Amino acid sequence: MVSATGAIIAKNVSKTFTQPDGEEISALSNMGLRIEPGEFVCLIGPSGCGKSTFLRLVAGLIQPTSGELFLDEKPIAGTGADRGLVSQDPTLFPWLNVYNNVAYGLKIRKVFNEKKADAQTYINLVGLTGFERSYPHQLSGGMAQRVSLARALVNEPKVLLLDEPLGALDAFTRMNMQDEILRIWKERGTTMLMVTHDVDEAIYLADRVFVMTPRPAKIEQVIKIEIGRNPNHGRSRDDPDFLLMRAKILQILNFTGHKHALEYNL
Amino acid sequence: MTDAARVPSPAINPRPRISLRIDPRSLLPLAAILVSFLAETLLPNHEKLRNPDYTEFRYLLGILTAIFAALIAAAVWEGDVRKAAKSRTLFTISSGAMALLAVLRFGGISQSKYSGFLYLSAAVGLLLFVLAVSSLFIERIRALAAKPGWATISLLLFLLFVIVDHEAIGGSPYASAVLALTVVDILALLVSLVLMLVKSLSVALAKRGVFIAALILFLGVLNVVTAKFLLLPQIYFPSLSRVIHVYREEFNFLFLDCLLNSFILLCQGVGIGLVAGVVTGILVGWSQRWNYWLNPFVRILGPIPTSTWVPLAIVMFSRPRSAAVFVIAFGVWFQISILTASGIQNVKKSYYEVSSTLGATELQNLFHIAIPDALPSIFLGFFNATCSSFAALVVAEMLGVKNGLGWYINWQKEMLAYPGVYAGLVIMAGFCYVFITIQFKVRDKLLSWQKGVIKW
Ligand SMILES: Nc1ncnc2c1ncn2[C@@H]1O[C@H](COP(=O)(O)OP(=O)(O)OP(=O)(O)O)[C@@H](O)[C@H]1O
Ligand SMILES: [Mg+2]
Repeated sequence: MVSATGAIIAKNVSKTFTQPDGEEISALSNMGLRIEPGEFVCLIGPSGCGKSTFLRLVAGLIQPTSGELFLDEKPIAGTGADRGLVSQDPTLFPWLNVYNNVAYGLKIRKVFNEKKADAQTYINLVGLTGFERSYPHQLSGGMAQRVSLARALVNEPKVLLLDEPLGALDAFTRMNMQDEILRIWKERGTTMLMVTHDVDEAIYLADRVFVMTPRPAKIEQVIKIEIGRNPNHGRSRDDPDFLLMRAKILQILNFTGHKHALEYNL
Repeated sequence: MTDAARVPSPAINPRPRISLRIDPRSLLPLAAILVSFLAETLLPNHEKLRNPDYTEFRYLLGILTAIFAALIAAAVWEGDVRKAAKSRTLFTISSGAMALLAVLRFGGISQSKYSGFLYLSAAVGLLLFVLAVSSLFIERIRALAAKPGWATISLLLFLLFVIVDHEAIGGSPYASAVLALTVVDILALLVSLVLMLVKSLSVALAKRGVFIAALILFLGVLNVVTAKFLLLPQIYFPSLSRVIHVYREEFNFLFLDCLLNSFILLCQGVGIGLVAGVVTGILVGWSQRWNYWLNPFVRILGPIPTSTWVPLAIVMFSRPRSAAVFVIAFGVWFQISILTASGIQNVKKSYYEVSSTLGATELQNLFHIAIPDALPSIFLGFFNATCSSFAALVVAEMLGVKNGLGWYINWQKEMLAYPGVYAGLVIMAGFCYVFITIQFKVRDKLLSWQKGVIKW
């Protein structure tokens, strides 16, 4: 079930942005972590702390100011189809319809002819059957978000970087999609690194939850979720352990948030 | 499907509704024609002194009557007409007429000045007829032959053939049969074209009826003002009949020499400018290095008005024709390269990022992201360029090419032959309109993902 590839290692990674006026913003400072192959990790932390920045570093879209990132022992230097990214806003290509947006990765990698059926499979999976010919401007925010998810999934990457992929969905669709993501994860053994603001979602899905500090971000605490998963979906949300875990994470978040607020009040 | 949707709707009142199947507004053009015709026939013609037999305005009204009668009839039976336009029967008949004409005239074609065109259309006509007939027997091409465009193409071919060859046909024993067929052909062509371009003919006719009627009335008034009461200086404002007379006299020269030449010149100039402009624009917009070297030239040379190039163009090219193409191509090149470059530079960075994380290389990003996203901008440049290329065309035709619509209009003006000027202007307007309309149709096809940037 669990594949042997897809390990992510970050060693002392820092990222500083220089704004046009010359002011420097430190988004990540000396962040270090190790994600095992086939692991499901959720990143959780206050807004603006640097979660998306970390995902973009792993994707290879930006380079760290200092420190190193590795995928399966190889340094990450640029983008690649082995790391799929579902970014915070869907960013569909407006000139392609839903089907061609999803099939984009297949065509780019020149495997479209062999894997034609996959595009349709993933469109069905995200519940957009019948919308293949629609263009992005004809979709709702949540539908667009699901297309963007399907577009990353169809490439079958070793590592899937998910930046609040379910943020725009209603509670019911969201729960369905969580189960689908879990199913794909189990089937493929893809390493999952998912950013979420929803503590319940993190506990429901993840093997480990990384709680981040406010900017400049570090890992405040790593929480291993040891509650057993149900065979066809995630953990029972009303399990007492689940509730306990939630209280614990919320407390950590609140604590960091509190410190953050204090800094400004002084 | 909910259960509610499956419940049959309550029975519709079985009594057939009696209704006028045509909106009265669609009949207004016919009324306007009648009024104009009465004015034309009842009022004495004061222009008589100069040219006693110019009554072409009546022909025009007659033709308009036939056109509107055909359109109104087509609107009343729109469903049937649409079905017929798609049917293989119409295709067979229209291509049959074309094939028959081709066979009848085949021996004489070689003597015509335009034999190349005639041979080509005869061959295409015969091919179409073969396609139509074999589709009656061969199952596999049946669907292909049922496309609505085929009949229109063979109708158009027939018409063009007759126009180009009309002198030879006019002297032949089957002239009157061809003439009758041509009239039917024109009306069928008109109806099928309108049906292709318009969603609902009856709605379109009703909507445009008032406008068209006003236009016809305007022509009627113009006729009264110029031919009947001589209220305007006759040299500069000739009567409509005299303008239409120019078409009768110089049909082949106007359409087959001037229009065709302008068209070819414009296509060459715009084509070369388009390719050069898109290539320059992509290089400037995509690559820093090309931008460094090319951008200053685009910015300095580009805004120079077309006519300024004429003295240089004459020296640079030994043949006036090449100079004319250059003058047109230059303006097109500039406008398209500027907008292509800006379109490519304005592509959202996040598109490249998504594309890269899906595994695209730099070159794939150019062809799969940058160019498709810049396409609306490229088309905007193309539109601007085409509009200004009409102006450049007139300048270019003065460059010793001594042919084309722009040249014809200028020539007629210098000879104080204003009927010719107006005749040329009307063709020019129609030509520009068709040229731009086709361009917009292509754009709408390519950019169906986008709701119209520019409406025409
Ligand atoms: N390209 C950039 N240039 C300058 N500053 C940036 C850039 N990208 C991010 N930042 C800064 O880095 C910090 C972290 O941003 P990031 O997008 O990673 O936050 P986040 O944790 O994903 O927040 P959210 O949960 O709201 O999405 C922010 O303060 C932001 O202003
Ligand atoms: Mg973010």
